[in-house]
Amino acid sequence: MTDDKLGAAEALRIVEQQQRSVATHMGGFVPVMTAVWGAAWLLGFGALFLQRVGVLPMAAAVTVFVVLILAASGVSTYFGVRAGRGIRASWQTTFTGTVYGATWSFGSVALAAIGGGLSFNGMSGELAWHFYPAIYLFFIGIMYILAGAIWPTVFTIVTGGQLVIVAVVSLFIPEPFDMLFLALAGGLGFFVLAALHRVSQRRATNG
Amino acid sequence: MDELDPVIHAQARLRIVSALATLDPGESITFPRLLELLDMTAGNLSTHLRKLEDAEYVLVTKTHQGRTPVTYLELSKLGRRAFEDYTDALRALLGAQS
Repeated sequence: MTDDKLGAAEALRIVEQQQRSVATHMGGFVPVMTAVWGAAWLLGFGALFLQRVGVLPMAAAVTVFVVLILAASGVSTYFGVRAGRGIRASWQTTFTGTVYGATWSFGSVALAAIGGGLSFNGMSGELAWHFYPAIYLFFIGIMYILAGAIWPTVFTIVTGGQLVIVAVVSLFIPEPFDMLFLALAGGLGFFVLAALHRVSQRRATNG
Repeated sequence: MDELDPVIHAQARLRIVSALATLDPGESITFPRLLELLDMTAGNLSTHLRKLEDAEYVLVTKTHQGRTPVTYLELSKLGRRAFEDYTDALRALLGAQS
């Protein structure tokens, strides 16, 4: 029954290689998904910047932004569902995933309500242009950090941290360059993270 | 090699157990998805899974999704502990050799 020819070093190499292979199979989509978000940010916030400098009409810029963000969300959902196919989660994992997923919806609606409340209390349209991107980016960043803590992944925590920093810094950049900053720091930041993740996957596969 | 668990210490079963150990306790995986992850033939995977099941290292749950039968596989507590002991034994052996 035992494989007598299998040495200890070779056996340990098989264990490590197999586990890396599974991780790559399960998470191989992450660099592509991150690059998709990079493109959505670059072009989406780029469109909003072009609206602010008078190149694009408001309706076109907002449409481009919304369509790209929805498309990137769709791509993320597709990859997430595909990665989890054939896996039956434990009840703890299901509970955690359900609460985490519901927090995205609950938090997003709550932030919209907070924005509405601030407008009700006198927040100007000009200030709302700064408030909404910053507060949503901050929320997304925190949710990424939480995801990285719940399902331990340094990459996700770093991405979340980057988003929080971009959100905070954007508020100190005068308009219309705040939108340009969001496009470049967010979009190019995602591309850099995608490339770094791809390199680490290749190293793990070849290691 | 006498101290290494003979149920695990064979290349195909070692790959199966290593892959199953990446799932969280309580999580399970369908036969076709495991087949895809391991890139083995269905016959080979079935044969080695039977040996792991006989040793009570792997739990096999047969269920239905709609009318389609689905087989879920997971490491048992015994199997997870055996895999941890096995990798500890490998590292101890390699440490003693170096």
